[in-house]
Amino acid sequence: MIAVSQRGAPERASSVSRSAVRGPTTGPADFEELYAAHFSGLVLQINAYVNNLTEAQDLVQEAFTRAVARWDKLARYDDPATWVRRVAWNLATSRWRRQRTANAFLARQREQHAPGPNPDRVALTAALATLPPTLRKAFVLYYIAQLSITEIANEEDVAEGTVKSWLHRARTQVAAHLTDPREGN
Amino acid sequence: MSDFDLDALLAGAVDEYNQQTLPQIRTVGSGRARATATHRKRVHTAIMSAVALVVVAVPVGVYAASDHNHNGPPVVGSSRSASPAPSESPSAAPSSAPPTLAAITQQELSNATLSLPSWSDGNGCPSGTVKLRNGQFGGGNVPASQLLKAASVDLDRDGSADAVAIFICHGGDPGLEMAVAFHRAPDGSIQTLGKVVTGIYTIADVRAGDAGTVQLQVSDLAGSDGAAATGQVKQWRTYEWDGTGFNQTAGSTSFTVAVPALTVTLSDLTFEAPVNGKRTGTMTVTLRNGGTTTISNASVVYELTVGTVTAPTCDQVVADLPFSGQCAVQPIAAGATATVTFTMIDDQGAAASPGSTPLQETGENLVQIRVGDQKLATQPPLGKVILK
Repeated sequence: MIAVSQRGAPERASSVSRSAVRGPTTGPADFEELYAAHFSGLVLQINAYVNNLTEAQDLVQEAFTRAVARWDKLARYDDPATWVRRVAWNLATSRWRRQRTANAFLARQREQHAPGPNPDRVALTAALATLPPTLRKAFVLYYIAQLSITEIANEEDVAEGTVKSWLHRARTQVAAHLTDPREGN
Repeated sequence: MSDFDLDALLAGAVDEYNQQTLPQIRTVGSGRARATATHRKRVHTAIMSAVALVVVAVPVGVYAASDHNHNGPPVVGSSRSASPAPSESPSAAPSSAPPTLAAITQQELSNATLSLPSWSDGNGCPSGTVKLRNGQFGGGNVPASQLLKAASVDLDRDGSADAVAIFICHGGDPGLEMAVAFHRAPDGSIQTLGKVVTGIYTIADVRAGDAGTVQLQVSDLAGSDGAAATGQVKQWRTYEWDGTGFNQTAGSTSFTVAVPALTVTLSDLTFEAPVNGKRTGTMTVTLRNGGTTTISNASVVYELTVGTVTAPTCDQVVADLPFSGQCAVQPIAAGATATVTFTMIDDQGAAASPGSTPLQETGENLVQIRVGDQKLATQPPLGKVILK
């Protein structure tokens, strides 16, 4: 059995700075600062989940648009970045995105698909795409958003053991996909 | 593979993903977010103003139509003025005529000083004397609030149009909503008649009912991102003013209903082996009536994102969302069983992983049984997705 470690595990070491991905735990003073600090990091998370960079950018932009519409209130929060992240994830997993996906689905019937990008570049997202949404989200929150198991459990309203189970299954499946010589072609 | 190797593999893949994706991210800009939010606010305000103009235009139109029969404007109450044009200023009316009690419009309410009753769940929401500006009030030390919609209705049956307005207080997520009735006093001021209802998640719409009643469209779910959609139960409920308060006189009083005679089971969603790269799946909903009377108004509401539903073809419950629908079930006689079989194609790889997975782990899937405009208090559990 592969154990899922708690915070600070070496497998999550990344050359991308933590602040660029997850951001500080205290809120920036103004909206522009919040946007600059978190836009790219959130797009990284959402793109890993939806496997579509343009859509991920749209979803995160929508989350920030909703944030600025109520900035008077959010500015008083200790961590408005958390609010934006949750809205972005809600959009990615909920009706707003599915409506857009449904429309895009109809449009795709008429599209001529160009060859995909270099398989090496999308190895992780291709592997994540094979996971059920729940496992995929858990993986992204842990490895890319760098939330702890406790934080993920709180956000998803499940027991920590459930998150560990999700991560165990996600790690195993992603690793299998990454090492399968039949994949990525 | 050892834990060490697994960890190194995943860390490398995540690093590679981050490094290669970050340079491709196009930052749209905080200015664009501000501009979009401002544009939406303007559009919303314009729509609300247009609604108000329609409300204002109605009495004039009614009068204009009735004037064509040369019988003059209808006199619906002793306090009504017989002056020829309701839209004229009071100074144009004969000095001996009684004062005109004009209808309360949304436009007027949107820029009035009102007395609001307390909200169901305080949370700091503004009550008492509040001053609205373009429908907005609160903000600063209290949650921002606004008037969403108003409708004219003669609640106290005195011949003059009163109004019922829906307000929202953004004191939480979702916000609190409240419907309040207003009455025109003889001196022309707006007085608060009372609170119609509050404490229901969403009050989406308001309209005049029969004989002095007001109808509110209410629902059991809400959220800032509008995610509550398919499973949302919407009902029109009717309320009447009894002189001291409001009572519900028609419509459902609960969003859920218990029907012990109705037993519902869901099969697993089973996908057959791929044919030309696509899997076809089926899932059956079985409804058994163990009672002694026919159940005539059952329906199955679904949202299934594992694949594209190809049958049955049912009413949409959310516009432009082919993943969801509401399927009416034929009347189920006493002792009889009805089935609804869903057929779907996994055309987007959502069910690509072999094996068995609980359906609720594959996305926001929902199968909800309703009787009339209520959902069953006990819903059948979702099964699994099985790939052959």
